[in-house]
Amino acid sequence: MIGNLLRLLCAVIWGFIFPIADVACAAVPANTGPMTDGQAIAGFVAAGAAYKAEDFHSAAAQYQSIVDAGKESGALYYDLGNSYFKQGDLGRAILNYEKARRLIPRDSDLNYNYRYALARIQEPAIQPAENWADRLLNSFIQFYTTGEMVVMLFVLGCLLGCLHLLSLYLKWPARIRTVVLSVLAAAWILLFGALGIKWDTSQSLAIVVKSSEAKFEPRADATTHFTLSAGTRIKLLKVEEDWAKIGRPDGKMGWLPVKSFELL
Amino acid sequence: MRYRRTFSIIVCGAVLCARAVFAQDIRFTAEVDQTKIALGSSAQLTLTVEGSQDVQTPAVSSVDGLDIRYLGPATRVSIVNGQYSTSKSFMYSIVPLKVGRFTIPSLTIDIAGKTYSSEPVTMDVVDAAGAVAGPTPQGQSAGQPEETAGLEDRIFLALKVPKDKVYLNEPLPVKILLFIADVQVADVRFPELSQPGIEVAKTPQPQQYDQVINGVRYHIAEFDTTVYPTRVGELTLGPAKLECNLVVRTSSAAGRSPLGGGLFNDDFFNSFFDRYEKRPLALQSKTTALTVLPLPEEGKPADFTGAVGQFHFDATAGPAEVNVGDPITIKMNLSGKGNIKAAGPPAYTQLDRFKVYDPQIKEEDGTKKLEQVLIPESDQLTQIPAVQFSYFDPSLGRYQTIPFGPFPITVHQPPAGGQALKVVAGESLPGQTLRPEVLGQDIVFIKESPGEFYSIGKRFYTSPWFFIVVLILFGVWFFLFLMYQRTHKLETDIVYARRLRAPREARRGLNEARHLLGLKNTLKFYDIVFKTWQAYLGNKLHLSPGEVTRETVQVKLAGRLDERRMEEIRKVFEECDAVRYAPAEINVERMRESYDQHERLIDALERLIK
Repeated sequence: MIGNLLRLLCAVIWGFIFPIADVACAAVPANTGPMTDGQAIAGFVAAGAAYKAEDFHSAAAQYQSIVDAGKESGALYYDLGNSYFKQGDLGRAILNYEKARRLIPRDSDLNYNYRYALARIQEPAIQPAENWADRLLNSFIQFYTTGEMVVMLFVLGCLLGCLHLLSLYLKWPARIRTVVLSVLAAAWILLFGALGIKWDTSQSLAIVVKSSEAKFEPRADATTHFTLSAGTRIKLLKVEEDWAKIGRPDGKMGWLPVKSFELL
Repeated sequence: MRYRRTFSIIVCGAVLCARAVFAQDIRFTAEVDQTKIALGSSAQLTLTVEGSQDVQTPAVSSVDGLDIRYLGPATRVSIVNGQYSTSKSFMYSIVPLKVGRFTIPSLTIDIAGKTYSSEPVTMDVVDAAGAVAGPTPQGQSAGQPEETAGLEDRIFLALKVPKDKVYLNEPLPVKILLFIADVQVADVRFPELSQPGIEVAKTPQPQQYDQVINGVRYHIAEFDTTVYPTRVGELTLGPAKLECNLVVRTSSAAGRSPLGGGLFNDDFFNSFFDRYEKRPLALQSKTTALTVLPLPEEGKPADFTGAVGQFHFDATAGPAEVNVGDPITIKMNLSGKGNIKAAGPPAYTQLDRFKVYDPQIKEEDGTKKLEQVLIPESDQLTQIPAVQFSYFDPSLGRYQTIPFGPFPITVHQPPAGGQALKVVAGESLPGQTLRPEVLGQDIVFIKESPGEFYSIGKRFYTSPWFFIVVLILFGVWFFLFLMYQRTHKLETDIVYARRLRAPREARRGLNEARHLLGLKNTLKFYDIVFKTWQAYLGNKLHLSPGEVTRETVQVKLAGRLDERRMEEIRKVFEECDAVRYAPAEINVERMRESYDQHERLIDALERLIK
């Protein structure tokens, strides 16, 4: 009976989980939108040619048209960020680098350009001091894409479930079972928490696309609280008509016109 | 024992009766421990209710010029020469706020539906210099002050502003002065002056000095700070708020000796027994109207960035002679009085035939220092263009510009074969460099390949299929876990396993019995029926085969089945015995009846016994 169950488990693992994980890593192919992949590639090449001819405005417009048609890729956002950077639009350059980092977070060219663009912000907001735990969490979150973290969570969950059943059916000693399952469960919980934080951050993160003044109240004639340079990362807290309540990395909050920033 | 209990009851009864008798004699009095006190001291007001302890704390109405605070109650019970008396006192601390004669009006209290009143209490508050420890002589109009002076004249806060019209962002020096005369204060905190539209700089440690004003010597603590108006229009500055503790002298019991005057009522002796207490005091200054003017548009330089005040600015460039590709460092210093935090030295953003690097700005001791690296890209360059800093000077009422430069430079071609080393930042090469590397910075070129295109907002983990797969896998795990739990229980819980096995084995036995019924094999049929019945009850009630008797089974099932079922079980056992001892009376009809009865009874027991 136990032999039959083990065979069933193996069938589940090899026949079900791993093919799904492979598919998940490859993400859902995008051939059903109004623009085909072929058209997107053609537009990408044409935009690259315009960039090489130093027609950065045209290049940015062509890259942007692909995005507007519902397609995205890490390289597309990267090139779009470069086009804006060459036009001197630091805010939109950083915005698109941030978008690219969601898809290709470990790309060295992207990270170099992103950091360089950040260094050119006129008056960067004061970053709050981070402890080692925050730094570790942030570097982990930024190292993987959301999809990769979901796959890791899925595989780890399956592993946890399989080992749990194996430990029961094969009658592992209680101490070994407790240690192994506790470690895996702790890893799963930490990973789940990190994914939650990444998801929450991505939902509210915005980039200032043109230098603006944050006001105390959502009125144009209200007192200025602080200024925000183009490219500054902000957190969107609330939207009221044409104004949004935002938070700066150092914790200061103010009201900003919605046109002066873009969400990721 | 019995007599002792009776005696106790009688004593308690007597005490209660006495209380009841004396409860009728209730008095309510008010008194102060000193009828004449000095400003800066405190007195104690005691309200006493004699004859009852079941009273609420009386409310004392406020008296202008006196700060009265409740301290707490005290109760007293005494039996002297068989006379039982009880009283409850309520103590209040009185701190005078100004000199003069004050009367605490008659106070009332309700006890058991009756209202009792105290006599008004009068006390004189005199200046500290005129305070006399002894009682006021009869007939003398003591306590009549020559002039009315209050605590607010002894300790107060003042806000001094040099002018009432300022420009936007203009630094305005403000003094917050704490005046103290003839009173003691402790735990003085920094004053607060925060309000919308005005930014307040950090307040440094105060200066302290003495000054005589109108014949009174004041000790003054001066807090100097600077405010920056950030909104144009009519603003109100203040009030400044400051918290401290007022130290007041409270006379001890020794000072209020029942012996009255004499040696021990002397100031010299009192000073040994006096104690001091701190009372929190919140001070508030008056407000000042401030008119904030906008900065004039006329004459505003194009490079003006909002600096308002008086500034000093200087800039240097060096070295003056370099090769193409070598760095030249521009150093600028900005200091002065004004909103220096908001102002910044003017950095170069773009220069023809120069590579311009981002400036590094730091602030030290009120001076902003800027360092910026420029790299000449041509040997034709002869100078670095001039740089200028513009600010608005509120004392002059106009914009000022301080120019520096142009800075003459000589640029040479690098020697043959000695091309300037250019390394992209972030790349580290193995080996040691012999000279400092010049960092050239730009963004990395675009990517030629787009990589894989995705539809925006569509990912595998947002697909319903993903969630279905997760749910299926969870279901598989849960099913296998439940299966393990069941198997494990069957292996470890014998009672459960036998109970679970009972109907299955009974069904198998009955099937065999039905087969034998068809063959009309009487002996074998009853043998199987009885074994099945015995095995079923053994499994169901966790009994060994030898224990399955009518008596044991009836005991086990008592209270779990009704009388009718118990009777049926009894009949089955009787039939077993009957068949065993008189097999000749058995026919097919009876065999069928026995089979049906067994089947019916097992079904019923399955339903009724879980």
